[in-house]
Amino acid sequence: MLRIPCPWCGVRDESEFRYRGDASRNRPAAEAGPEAFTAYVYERDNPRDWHSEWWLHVAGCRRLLKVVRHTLTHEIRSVEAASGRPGAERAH
Amino acid sequence: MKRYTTFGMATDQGRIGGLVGCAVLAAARGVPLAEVGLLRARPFAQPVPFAALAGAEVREHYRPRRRLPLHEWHESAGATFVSTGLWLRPLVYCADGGWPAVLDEARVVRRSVGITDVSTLGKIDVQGTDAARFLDFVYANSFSTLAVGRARYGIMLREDGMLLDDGTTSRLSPEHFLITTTTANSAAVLEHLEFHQQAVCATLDVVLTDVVDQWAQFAVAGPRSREVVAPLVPGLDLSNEAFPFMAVTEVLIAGIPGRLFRISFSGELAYEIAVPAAHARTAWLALLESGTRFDMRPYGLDALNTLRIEKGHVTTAELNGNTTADDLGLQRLLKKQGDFIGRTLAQRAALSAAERLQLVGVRPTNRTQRLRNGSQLVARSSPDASLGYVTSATPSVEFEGWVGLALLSGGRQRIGERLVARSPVTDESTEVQILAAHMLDPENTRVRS
Amino acid sequence: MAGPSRITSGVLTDAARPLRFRFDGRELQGLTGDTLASALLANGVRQVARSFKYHRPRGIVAAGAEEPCALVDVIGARGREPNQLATTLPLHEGLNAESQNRWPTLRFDLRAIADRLAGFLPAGFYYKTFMSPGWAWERVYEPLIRRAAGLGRLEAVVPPHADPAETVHDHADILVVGAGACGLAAAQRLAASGLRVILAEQDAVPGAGTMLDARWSAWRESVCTALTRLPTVRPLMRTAVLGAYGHGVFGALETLSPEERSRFGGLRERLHVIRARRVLLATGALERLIAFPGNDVPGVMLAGGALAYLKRYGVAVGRRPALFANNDEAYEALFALAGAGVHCAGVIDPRPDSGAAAHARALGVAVHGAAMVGAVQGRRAVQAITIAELDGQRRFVLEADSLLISGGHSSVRHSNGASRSTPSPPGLTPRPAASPALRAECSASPLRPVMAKRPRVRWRWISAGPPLRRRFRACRSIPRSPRSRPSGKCARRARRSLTCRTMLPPRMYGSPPAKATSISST
Repeated sequence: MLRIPCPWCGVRDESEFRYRGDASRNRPAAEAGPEAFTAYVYERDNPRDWHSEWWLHVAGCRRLLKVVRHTLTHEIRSVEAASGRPGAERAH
Repeated sequence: MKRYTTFGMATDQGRIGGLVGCAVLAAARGVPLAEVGLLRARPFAQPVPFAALAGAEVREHYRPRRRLPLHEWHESAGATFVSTGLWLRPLVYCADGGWPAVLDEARVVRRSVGITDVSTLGKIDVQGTDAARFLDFVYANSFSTLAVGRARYGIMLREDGMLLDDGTTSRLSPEHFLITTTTANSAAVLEHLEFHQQAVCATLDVVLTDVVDQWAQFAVAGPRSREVVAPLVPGLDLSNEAFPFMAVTEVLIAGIPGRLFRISFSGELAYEIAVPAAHARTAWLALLESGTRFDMRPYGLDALNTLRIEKGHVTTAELNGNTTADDLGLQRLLKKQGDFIGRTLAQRAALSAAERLQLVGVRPTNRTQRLRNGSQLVARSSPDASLGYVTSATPSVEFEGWVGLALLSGGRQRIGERLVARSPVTDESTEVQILAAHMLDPENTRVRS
Repeated sequence: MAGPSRITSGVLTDAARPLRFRFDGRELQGLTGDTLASALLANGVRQVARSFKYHRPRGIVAAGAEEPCALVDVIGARGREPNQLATTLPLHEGLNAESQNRWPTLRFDLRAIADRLAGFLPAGFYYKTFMSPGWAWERVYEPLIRRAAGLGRLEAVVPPHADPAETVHDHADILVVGAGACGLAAAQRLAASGLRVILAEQDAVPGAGTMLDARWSAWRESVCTALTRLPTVRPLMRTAVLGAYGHGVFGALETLSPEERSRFGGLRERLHVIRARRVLLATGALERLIAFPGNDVPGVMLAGGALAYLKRYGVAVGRRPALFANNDEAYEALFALAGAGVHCAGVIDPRPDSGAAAHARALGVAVHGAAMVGAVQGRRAVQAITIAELDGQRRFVLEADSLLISGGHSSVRHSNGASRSTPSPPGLTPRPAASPALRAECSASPLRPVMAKRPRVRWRWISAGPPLRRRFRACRSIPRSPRSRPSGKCARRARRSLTCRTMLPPRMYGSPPAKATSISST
């Protein structure tokens, strides 16, 4: 059972989050061909190592978090928000 | 060792005998014990009764229940409920209906007018200066070209080119859109959009809000629907020229600030009325009152399904995650310019191969025979080779006998052919004719009337 | 005093309040505070079950939740509940228990024919056999195997409404697992400094090993009182920690006592999901088995279990017990039984000599050093013990009605469950320091468990007297203190070769070889 420290909501159980995949992969540019998109969609490493991944806090603030977790020990090294910072006002 | 001797299993679980057995193994292998190691214990350390693990979440408390704002009204009207996902929806307004009750409700819609509660559809409010750009990115068709006060049928792809969901999205103002999704996929689509908005499109100024519980939505459908809705929206010209098909407006409905959409799922002239959920009852009763002179009746999920199958609209039965836009005949919706999710991989040659399962309509040649959902379509000459399967089936009110939708290999080329629908589970074989998927009113004259 | 084998008063039992219960149709008497197992032993009932597959007679082996054999059916308001552990089942008035996995009676079980056919039914065989003829599987083999398999039969009376159930989510700074001497002291110290502590103990009362020695009772009382006064401590008795699920999340199952059950409207168990910042494992140690032919005969018990039955319940597990041990701690059971007036048949010790052996001789108990048990005779109860000398010279027979065995102690690790720490085999290097693997594991990441068994930490926390030091050594990797190691060339040779010989049951390897496999537990 992972406990992920959400920057907005505090430490929460993993059951409040939805895993959204590898965060080290960025969506290729629109013009990049099918090979780039195939790698983006289908190819994944399976590291026994630190792994950067997305977790969406669906039962809480619904923010997307980039979590760096070690796949063997499940230790979480860092959690940062994909966008926005807790406490920051939205500029309108 | 465990597999051949069952050592460490059963009642001991290695607690008392653990080290001894490992030592025996070490001696047998001739290695020091440290190399063999110890039994690695796994939870649970003690036997746990299932009741303790289940806790209080048993029977009706196993999952949360989502109820419609008008749940009590539906109950008092005698509805039989069905759970779709977490929702409780009225299936038919009859205690032990069977098909006759369902077809009665559907017939009323086709001939006069009916009303149904579609509050469970997912609704996502999208606002921001970049809202149109964001929708252009998530939808396969364009929404920046959508005029204010109009709705458009949109399809969303997954990044691998498969269909994720469909829905009608309306533009309420230049920077304000309302997305609708299917009931089953509403949570998935919301997460999909939130993920992309924060990870991929973080620089865009757009805000997403889930409003499925905030709005109650009813569909009034049938040739008389205009006359039912018009008295409740005085001041709004509901004529076909002023409020055409796919028009949207914010308006006072029976005095309640709500929204009126002219969209149709049933294939008849239809309007959808959205009011804040707290006022659902007022609006519903007002609509019922207005419809009494046309014998308007509420219809449930089964009748809704019958109507949409006749029309050829797809739901999650066809949007099953394995179908592409091309399979369902929606390839013309994909925009030619501009990036969107799934654009590149949807163009893979294999996804438009001729033998892919494509959406078609099916109808038994013998009108008295029943069409079974899930039956496999086979050629008469080779009854063991499945060419596709029936995804939805219903007795028809518009046509004689049963009709259905199916996914058939190379379906569009096979229109007019006669195949056999085999259901090995019920040991039935029915000869069917393959038709175009839109069996009812393919010119859309009714919805545009 | 409620049973012919109840020779003294125990810490937990109340002689003034006897209880009546039934076992296999026999009316028996026990005391308030007994468990079903202690009451059965007090009444001289030694065989309580039949083994899983071969239906060999089974008795009571230990005194706690680690018991593998004494599983009984309890017949009550909910119908027949199978697989209740007799050593943890509290005795109440009118308890109706039956042995299971036997037909027609426990004494005469027809299915024990499986034991005679054991040569054709080795372990694990049925996965690949019974393949042909194909038709026979569904009609013949499977129904038979299904009926013969498993332990216990379920005949539940299902109430029309669901029974109450509760899941409690707890949060704590420290979860202390185990309320023995170490756990109690740690909980007191930690809570006194203001930390929120949850103290989980699978037994009904705290104290564990401290109940085995009267000198500890005063200390135990004072610490328990202190704990009730500290506001940040939550003691959870009858709560077994089920596993470590990572990130400081632990599962624990609390079994409610009969009084609590009625207070909470019929609630039987409570599942705790505990989220703790750190955990302290003070789970103590379990005695190790020694394997020899006949080590499963009713009457062969762990020495620590016998000591627990005597001290906690006042029950002597046999009238003529023998001891087979390779460590000094196990002799405590013998001394306690001798002190209570039980005539001990003898001691078999693979070590040539030791301090405890000398003490035993001083008490008048025959000690057979440099020897091991060759076999146990008797099928439904221990009748005699064959003793073989290590150098293979002599074999002779000792009459005894129970055999207490102890192969040393292993630290309890099963609640470490899903966490990634690999257990290292205890005490197999001559160095008294913790093995590198153990040390590495103790290096603190905030969410890793802190092992209570690091010697240095222990000495500081608790002022230790001799009995406690012995107890801790029992918990630690090394079963014997360096001081008691005999010196000299013969001793060194003996130490090098083996201190505990294990022999394999004949079924697995054919007839027992003359010189069996060995482990060195120096």
